[in-house]
Amino acid sequence: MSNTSSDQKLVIAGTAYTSRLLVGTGKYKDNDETRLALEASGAEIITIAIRRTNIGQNPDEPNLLDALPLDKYTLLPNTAGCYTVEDAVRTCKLARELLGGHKLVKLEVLGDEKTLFPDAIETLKAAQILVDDGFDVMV
Amino acid sequence: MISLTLNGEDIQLEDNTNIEQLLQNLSLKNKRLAVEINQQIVSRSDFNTHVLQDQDKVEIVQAIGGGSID
Repeated sequence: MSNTSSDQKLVIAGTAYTSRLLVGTGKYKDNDETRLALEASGAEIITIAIRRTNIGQNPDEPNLLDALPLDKYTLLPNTAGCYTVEDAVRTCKLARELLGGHKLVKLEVLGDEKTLFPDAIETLKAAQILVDDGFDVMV
Repeated sequence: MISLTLNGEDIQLEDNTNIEQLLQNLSLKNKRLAVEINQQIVSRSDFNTHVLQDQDKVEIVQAIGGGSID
């Protein structure tokens, strides 16, 4: 039998994790609630999204990255909402720039607006481009 | 003056404005963000030397909470 004990580490892209839980950071009321929920979850990997900054509306709005203790978490930028290879690759590259060279991303190229099913062929194309560019890609 | 597109909005700027000055004008200086000009990412270290040109398409992005379709 394989070892399935809870002390077995999860290794992703060379980093070992105690928790196997990946938690999103959307849907919370505010950054405080996000922080508390993440603490309670015990997760070590948290997903984030990349979006246009609101210009001129509320420049002092707390930024998610400023509100979380980033040394505690591996951030996992994701391409939710991307329907083309180009858009997904662009989002990952922006995330890498934003996060100072960060390489781990969660990739999907969506294929259907109603079901949100990914397009496997396009996702594979994007993955190849990203891997060739040095990214660690989770699909 | 030059005319350019910033996150989909048409704006006008003084000639010879660089990215750092633009971010300062927007009260976004020193924020965690990434900048793309005409679909090319500009490194943060080049913000104070990259001068914006007429008709540039500028995108400023940041990290937000997410992980699935909102």
